[in-house]
Amino acid sequence: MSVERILPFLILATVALSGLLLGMGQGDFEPFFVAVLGVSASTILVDWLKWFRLPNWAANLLAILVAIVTVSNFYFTNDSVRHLLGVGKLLVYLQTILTFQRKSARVYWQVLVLSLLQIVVGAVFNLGFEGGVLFIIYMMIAGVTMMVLHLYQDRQLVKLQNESSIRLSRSSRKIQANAVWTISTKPALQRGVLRRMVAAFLIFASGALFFSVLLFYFLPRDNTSWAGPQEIPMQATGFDEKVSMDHSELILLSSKLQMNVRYWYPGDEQKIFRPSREPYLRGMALSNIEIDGNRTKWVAPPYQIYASDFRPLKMGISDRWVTQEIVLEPTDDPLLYTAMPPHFTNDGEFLTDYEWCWPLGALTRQRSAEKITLSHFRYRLQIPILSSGEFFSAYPYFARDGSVALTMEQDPGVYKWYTYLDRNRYPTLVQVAGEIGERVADGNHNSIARQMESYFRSGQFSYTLDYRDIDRDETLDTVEDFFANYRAGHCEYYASALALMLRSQGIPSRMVVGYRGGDINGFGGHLDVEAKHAHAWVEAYIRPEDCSDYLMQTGQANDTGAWLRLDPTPSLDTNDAVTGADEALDFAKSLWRDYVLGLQADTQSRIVSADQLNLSGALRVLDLDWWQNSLNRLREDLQEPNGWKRYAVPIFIITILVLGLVIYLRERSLRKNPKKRAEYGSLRGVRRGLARALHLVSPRLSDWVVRELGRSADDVPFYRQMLKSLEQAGFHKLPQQTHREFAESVARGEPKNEPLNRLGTLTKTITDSYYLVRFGNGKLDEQQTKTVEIALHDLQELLQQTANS
Amino acid sequence: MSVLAFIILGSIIRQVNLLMLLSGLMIAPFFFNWRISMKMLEQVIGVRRIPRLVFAGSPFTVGWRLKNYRNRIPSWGLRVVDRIGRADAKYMDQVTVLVPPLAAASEAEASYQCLLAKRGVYHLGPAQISSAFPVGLIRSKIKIREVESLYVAPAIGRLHRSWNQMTQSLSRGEAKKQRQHRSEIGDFYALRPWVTGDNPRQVHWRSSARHGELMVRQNEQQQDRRLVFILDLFESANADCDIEMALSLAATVFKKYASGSGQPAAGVFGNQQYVCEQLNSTALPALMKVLATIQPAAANGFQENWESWLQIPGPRRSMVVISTRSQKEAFANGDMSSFRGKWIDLNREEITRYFQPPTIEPGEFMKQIAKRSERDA
Repeated sequence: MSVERILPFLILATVALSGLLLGMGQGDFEPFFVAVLGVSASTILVDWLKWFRLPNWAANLLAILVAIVTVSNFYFTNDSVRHLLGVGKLLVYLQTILTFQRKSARVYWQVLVLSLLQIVVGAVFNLGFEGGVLFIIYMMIAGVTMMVLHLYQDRQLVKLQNESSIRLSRSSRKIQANAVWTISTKPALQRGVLRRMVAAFLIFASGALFFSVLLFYFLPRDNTSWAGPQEIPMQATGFDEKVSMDHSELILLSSKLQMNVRYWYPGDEQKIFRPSREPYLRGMALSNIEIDGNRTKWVAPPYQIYASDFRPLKMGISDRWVTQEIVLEPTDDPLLYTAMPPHFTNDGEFLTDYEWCWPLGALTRQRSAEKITLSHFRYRLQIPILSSGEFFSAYPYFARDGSVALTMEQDPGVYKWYTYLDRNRYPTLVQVAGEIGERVADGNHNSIARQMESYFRSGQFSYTLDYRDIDRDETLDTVEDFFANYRAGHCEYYASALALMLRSQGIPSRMVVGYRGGDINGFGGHLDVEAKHAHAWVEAYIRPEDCSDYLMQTGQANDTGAWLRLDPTPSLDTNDAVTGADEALDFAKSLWRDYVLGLQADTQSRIVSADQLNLSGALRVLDLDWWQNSLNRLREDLQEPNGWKRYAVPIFIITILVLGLVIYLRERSLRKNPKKRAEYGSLRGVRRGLARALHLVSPRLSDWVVRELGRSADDVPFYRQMLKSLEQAGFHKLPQQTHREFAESVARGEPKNEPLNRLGTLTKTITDSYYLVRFGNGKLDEQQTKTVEIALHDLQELLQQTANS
Repeated sequence: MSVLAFIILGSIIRQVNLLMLLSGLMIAPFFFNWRISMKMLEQVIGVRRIPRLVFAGSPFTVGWRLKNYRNRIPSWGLRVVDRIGRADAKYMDQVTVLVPPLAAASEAEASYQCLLAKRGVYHLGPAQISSAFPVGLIRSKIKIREVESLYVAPAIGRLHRSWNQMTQSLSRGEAKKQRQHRSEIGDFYALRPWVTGDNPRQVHWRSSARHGELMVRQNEQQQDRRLVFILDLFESANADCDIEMALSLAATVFKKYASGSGQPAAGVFGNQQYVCEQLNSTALPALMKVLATIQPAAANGFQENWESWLQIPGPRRSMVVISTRSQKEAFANGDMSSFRGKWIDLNREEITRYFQPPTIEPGEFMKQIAKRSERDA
């Protein structure tokens, strides 16, 4: 295929990838479709069919118009994100307009530059791991495109030079004194050269990638200077989470990653803490009930939140605590998730402004620390744990006015707020709650709350996400209907019902939304928290007198009471089977996020510091103890259920590398072995490919295939027999020889250079018959068969005599 | 470069990691392209090959032979930029030639076709061999500073039949004029078998019948007089002739007779004098080199050399003088009777009887060359 034909396809691939990356960055795939359709249409209409072509002036005019329209939109908004989106689209439109012009090397270069600028815009929006992989593929394809474009440019240069020379010579009817006309010959691109060039390019690209990675990690970064990340103003929006009980369809579990969570013991990041029970990553509390027809909604307080409602976190006080690091996927929501209760960590790097918003019962971040790129957000907190290796199930209550220590009952407004309930809407629910309350003789709120929680787990209720077959009573409130009738639902129904039951018994309560658990990633040692792990549960206020000694002693409650976590939802294993590949992918994603997208000045200095680069680590391999410890650790890991999965990817990579090495060595040995090459050369097409491929695995198997397939290539028995006899006598048919040429060479006595006329005559006779069978009517008549048999017999006899003599 | 600078600055200022990575991925190709393109040119030697004899109006090939002396690394994406132009011109034309992929320890040939309108001295070079492999971002070059001079002889025209008749009659003498219409030349020498290309009239039918195959008569080459071609470029105030046509005629004649068997002599008199005792293919380039640059002169040495011509021993001579003046004018102070031969005075219309000047249509010519070049590619 010529350079001129390949180039449009490469340009199309480049443009499609840059459009896709821009679309991924912006979350809008319009640029991708415009780019692909535009370039495809232009290739067909302008280059192949030659129906239509934009003159330069028209293309320029269109480009100016598009630019004016885009820039004019900038005046209607000050949002720099929207500006960038506009720039991205402008680039795609300009690129599309360009492609409708007559193609030249210049036009192709401009298309490539615009495509690169799209990548730049896409990169500003931070691409995820998939985007990163596409980004590398884009760079490779763009590189190959540039290489082919470079060849095309050279050829175009010569073509234009020749055309210009012809044009000038045609206009010069009268010979001018200084006239010199030249025509350069264009060398044809030999078969296979382009393939070799691409192979060479891949080596070049690997070098370039290595170089760029080094550059990336050594390029100066300074987060504190004026040149730091661009900030966008804080907006106290995004607290509109609400839960509405009106589902009537199948709720699908989404595997969209929300965050990564990692715990470790203080002082050693390598010492991973794995909680004995799934952690509850608390988001925010929904304390208000709204009634909409027959639906109950749980919402955050709708009124204005004041600055005084935000409280800074305290430093950790517990003697047992772990460091929690959470990396949130890009979001513009200031809500932070955490196990309870969160404390500041003394890690200076992460000592930023996280505050507790009292009315919302939520941890929030200041948006000023966020990049325009809506990048991943990483934060560390200090979380106390119990001696059993669990997180707290309750945490101390503190009043809205932080300066005074009040219980909730001493704060009537708050108490009323958290106990508000329209009892008439939920008759069955209130009745059952009353019955449970009566069963607890001392009226201990803690006991009542626990019993109510167990009521839902007693087997009378079931978990479901499929509401399609549920027959609802439209006259009842959805929560009452759930509780009294169908008794199947998901966490929001259970949490809602329990919170209402608690309130009916005068126990302040609120619904809490967040995430429970996550998939443990064996490679990174972190939890991958996905959308499917979203959960709702209840927090009940327990008076100090109802708090058990255990709660008090462990710091889960204090003199002002405690918020007790209650999870009434019957368990349902929503986790998909996590494979080693999934884990590897997740781990790769976290590496991309941590060491590419999220690389900051401090992390960079840590990575490239002398400590990291010293040789002591490498010298460990000489230490026998190190080997023994490593083997012990490996044995322990393998004994754990699914422990082998941690080693799946390294084993896979090592296997691939070893296989690659074996294949390379075999291929090299094949290239250096002319006899083998000749054998494979005797096969054609797919057969040859198969034989070569098998050679990489097993040369013996390949030899067998060559024999079998080779036989089928010349599947005429008498000819095969002749070849065999001649081969034994030292006459080998070369792959490039036709059958007749081989017969001629035998007649000439090659390769021995001895005249063997008789042998040549016999070979020619058999070869003629072979041609008749193979390319003629397919069979010989009686006379011909007899001739061949005699010739074959004579030939073998002659060869025998020659061998004896 | 400006795009790269923009991206690098933007990435550092805004601390956008992906842009930094992109910057790296853009700087790296520049760096590697520079190194690889330099490598492509290492130990690559290029030599220009020009023909020995070039005529104005006739295309010729300038070849470039490139050799890669490395044993392992091939050279790809090589391009030769050559320069060509008149020695006295201010500007030179530039020709770009693409070199086929050059494998390790191998040679490759690249060439371009050239058509020069006028005779004279042309310079080729300095040239440049360059490579921008693999992605064309940076081009490395090596310069070949040598400048080669190319002498372009006058354009070749067409001699009419009357010219042949005239020269034949001169070479054989007047007495044998009657025989010139006969196809046979010279006396009978022997019989030989017929070969393709022999004149059918030469077939000796009786011998053919006797031998069973066609036999032809072979005659002795008859060359009584030796032809001497002289170009006399005399500069005079009242001369109104086309010097270039005279040169073109002389070049055409010299070229024709240099490849023949008669071995005539030739002389050129103008601002340079050149005498060639035996005009053959070996002597032709030097003669053409003189024709490429010669100009008329008032004292061109014709008369001074005339006597010496007459003194040279050997067979009798018949002169053919192509002159910018009349015979009388040339021998104003000498003995005109010693002249035997044909005097072609360019001031008279006589030249058109013998010679059709070259008609160069460069447009068509170039088109044909380009087509052939495309087809070859």
